[in-house]
Amino acid sequence: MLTARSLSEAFKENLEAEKGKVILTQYSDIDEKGLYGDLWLIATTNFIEVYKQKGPEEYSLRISVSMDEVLDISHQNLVGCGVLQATTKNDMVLLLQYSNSYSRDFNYVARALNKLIKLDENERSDFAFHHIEDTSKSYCQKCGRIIPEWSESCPACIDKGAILKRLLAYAWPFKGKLILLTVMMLLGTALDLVPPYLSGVILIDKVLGERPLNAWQMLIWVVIGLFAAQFLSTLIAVVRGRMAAWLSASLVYELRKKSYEALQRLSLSYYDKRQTGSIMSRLVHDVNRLNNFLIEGLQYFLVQVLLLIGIGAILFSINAKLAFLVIIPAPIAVLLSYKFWKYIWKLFSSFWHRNSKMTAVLNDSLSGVRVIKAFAQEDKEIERFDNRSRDLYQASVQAEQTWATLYPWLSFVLTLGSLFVYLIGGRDVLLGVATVGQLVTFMNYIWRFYGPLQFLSRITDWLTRSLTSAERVFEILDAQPDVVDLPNPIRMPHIKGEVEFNNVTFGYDEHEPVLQNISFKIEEGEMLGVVGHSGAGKSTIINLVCRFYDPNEGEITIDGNNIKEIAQQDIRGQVGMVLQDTFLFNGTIADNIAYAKTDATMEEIIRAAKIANAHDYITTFPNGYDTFVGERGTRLSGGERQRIAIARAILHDPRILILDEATSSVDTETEQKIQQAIDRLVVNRTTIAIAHRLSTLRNADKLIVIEEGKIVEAGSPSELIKRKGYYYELVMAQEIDSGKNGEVANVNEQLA
Amino acid sequence: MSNLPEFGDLQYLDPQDVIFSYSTSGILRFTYKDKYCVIKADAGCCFPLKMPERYIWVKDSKNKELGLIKSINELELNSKEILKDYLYKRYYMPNIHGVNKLTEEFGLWYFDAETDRGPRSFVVKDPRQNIINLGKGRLLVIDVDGNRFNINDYTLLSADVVMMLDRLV
Ligand SMILES: Nc1ncnc2c1ncn2[C@@H]1O[C@H](COP(=O)(O)OP(=O)(O)OP(=O)(O)O)[C@@H](O)[C@H]1O
Ligand SMILES: [Mg+2]
Repeated sequence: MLTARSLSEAFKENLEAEKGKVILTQYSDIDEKGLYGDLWLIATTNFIEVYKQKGPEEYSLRISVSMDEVLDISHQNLVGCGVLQATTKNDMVLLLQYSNSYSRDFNYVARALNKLIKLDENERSDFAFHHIEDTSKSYCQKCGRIIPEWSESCPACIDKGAILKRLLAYAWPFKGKLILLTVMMLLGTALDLVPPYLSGVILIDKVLGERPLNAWQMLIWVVIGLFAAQFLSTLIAVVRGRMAAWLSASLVYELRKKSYEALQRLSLSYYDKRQTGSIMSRLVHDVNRLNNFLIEGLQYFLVQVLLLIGIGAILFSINAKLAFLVIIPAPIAVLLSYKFWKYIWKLFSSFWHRNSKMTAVLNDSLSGVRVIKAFAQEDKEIERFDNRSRDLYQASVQAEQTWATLYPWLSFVLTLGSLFVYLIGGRDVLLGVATVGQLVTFMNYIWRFYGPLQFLSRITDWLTRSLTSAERVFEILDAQPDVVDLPNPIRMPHIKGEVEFNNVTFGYDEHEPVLQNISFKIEEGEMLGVVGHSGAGKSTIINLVCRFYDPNEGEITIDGNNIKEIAQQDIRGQVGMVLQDTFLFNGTIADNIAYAKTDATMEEIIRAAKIANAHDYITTFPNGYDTFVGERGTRLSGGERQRIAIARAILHDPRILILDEATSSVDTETEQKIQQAIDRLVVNRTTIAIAHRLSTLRNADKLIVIEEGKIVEAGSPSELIKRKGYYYELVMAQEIDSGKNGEVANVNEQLA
Repeated sequence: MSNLPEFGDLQYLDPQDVIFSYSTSGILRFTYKDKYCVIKADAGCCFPLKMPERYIWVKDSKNKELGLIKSINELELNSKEILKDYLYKRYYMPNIHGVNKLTEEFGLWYFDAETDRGPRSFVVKDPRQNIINLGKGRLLVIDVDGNRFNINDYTLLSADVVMMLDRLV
């Protein structure tokens, strides 16, 4: 972990006397040779300098550039590291290199330096630089530990008791049943303790040994007692099992429902940072583990502890000397089984890891089966799977064999104690100090005594793992959406559709802006076209309109209200999207069209499909609108999916329509059909359309051209053509590309 | 592979004519003898993990590719040393040859390692994702900050470290 470093005060004072006030210092961990070392970037009112630190007070100057010479400071991310460069009036200077641990700092420093060089000397000395704060919440405030990605809070500092309490709160509604369950478990265990006593001390000593007059009668009673104990314990086991099954299903159901609800409420940024697989595993595995903990684990724990005490007490009451013999090896037994479980757990975790890798290969190849077939790569896939499968096989052999080897030996060592009991107890019986019944009873109890011991040696492990699971589930339950409604949001049941961006700056990571100072206005019912290279930030703009994310600076308004103040429900309810990568849910075509309007009539569905130019092909399917589209809609073609998405948007009847590449990747005829559908759809609605094929945007009222997150051109299509700037170049480029496709006419039309 | 269409042709640079040098202020300069000189050039590996010394691309400051170099070893000695040095710094991936301590806490792995670029302590989050098996005992380790480390053969490390890494491999 990186500790904060600071510059020596004495050195700083000397420097200030010579070069002017120190405004900014930043440490880097890589020296000029590319080795790990200590370098400092120091900006004074007059210079930007780099020093190498050789000892606590020893600094040597490497690079010095006069502040007035510098035109620009830039940072470049390389692989695993980055460099800071200065462009001066007649040169380019490599200032220093830094590892990725400092890339955020240098990104920030570069921005500060660029502001600084534009100031004059007096203004510079007033410039206040603060080191970047780690807002990513990835370090614990208390202990400085890194917080694992599955957790919101530091697992080392978190109060284990608090989690436990909270966990129990989930079981609270079922408390009556849980207590009953525990009582039954205790009763059952107590009943299990009866037979050894009856058959040992009573049967062997009192009845068979002493042969009293009423021996027969006593024998019968002992048998009846044994029968009753066994019968009752079976009965209790059945009732308890049924109840536990019901309880655990109910609890899992509740927890899963709550977590799923929480998941659906979270903002998109939550999903950006996490893998779907890990979220799924929380809902499936962690919830199960919690359930085991609450339903079985806690009671089991209680019972084991009581058993340990109970049996201990019985043993001591029968024969204190023998009881000591049993207790003495106990610590060794605990230690041994602790080591044993730790080792075995490591082996098995390797096994599980390989298992999940094999599943991943399986998943990958089954979803990519078309590609495999298309390239005739079946053999390669078989080999790939076989490799994983063999890995798993090896791990499984190793784990199981180690288990098979060690476990019997562990049991063997544990039973050694009982041999002493035989030896010394047997001698006592021979000497007449102890009875045969006592010895037999003892032997029976010992077995039940070592079980809880083994369990207790694993208790910390078990508790940690359960609480970790609890935390992962709670993290979902507690996660706060980044985008939240105000306490009293403005309700806008009827949006008119005027959208304005006002100096909006935004980055998915706050320090890497993707959009910078974006401003534009769309009047009600207008169509705005957004053009730009791939990765320019077009889709990001629409993500902001839908308020999937909030801008870092500036504001976005709809009908004059800041969208942060409008109820999200009203925005999403009246914004409709057709995206390039259409997602259809597993269901019928009709279900998918009616997704956003579940109460749509059949007639409405058909009308929407007709407007979307989808009706004609849907009716050629044998099952018509009842055709199942398959997982993610794979049974339909790209263009077919697209038109269903448009029909979905039509039915949704949004006030603000968003089209992101709605017509790419289809043939010209289909494109025309889709275009026609879109033309019908945009009438009287505010529309934001993104397109690479510029012909799609010919009807736009306004166009903005985005380049690296900034608007470089704006105006109506004909204005932009006349200006002969970026847009003109893009249009010309496409004209050359698609001259044969008849788009020339369209460009000329625009030119005219 | 022989009948890929024309535009798939690779533009190889003639190793005899390639000259790399550093400016006094440490910027990489690329000269193609008798043809042109690029004051601020960039060079990188097409396969930084598998073949770090072959298929080197060279780009100008506008990110336009000037051509490919088949193998660093074909270059003239001086250029070769400079290019190697440049790539050594550009691809910051220290080689770990010893691990003094490796501990696990709450799913985070704390490394205290010896590398060819000096000692380094770092933390790996979610080791299953961030310790990548490249085959034949070679591992790529990515720490919380996105720094990369290479382990050529992890089985040569100390026994308890091997045991921990075995779980992932
Ligand atoms: N969820 C995300 N998290 C982090 N970065 C992202 C995310 N989505 C996009 N980016 C980055 O933001 C930049 C702009 O992406 P955006 O999707 O807005 O581009 P675009 O203009 O729509 O491109 P295209 O035409 O290819 O769809 C890209 O550099 C991209 O890598
Ligand atoms: Mg996009």
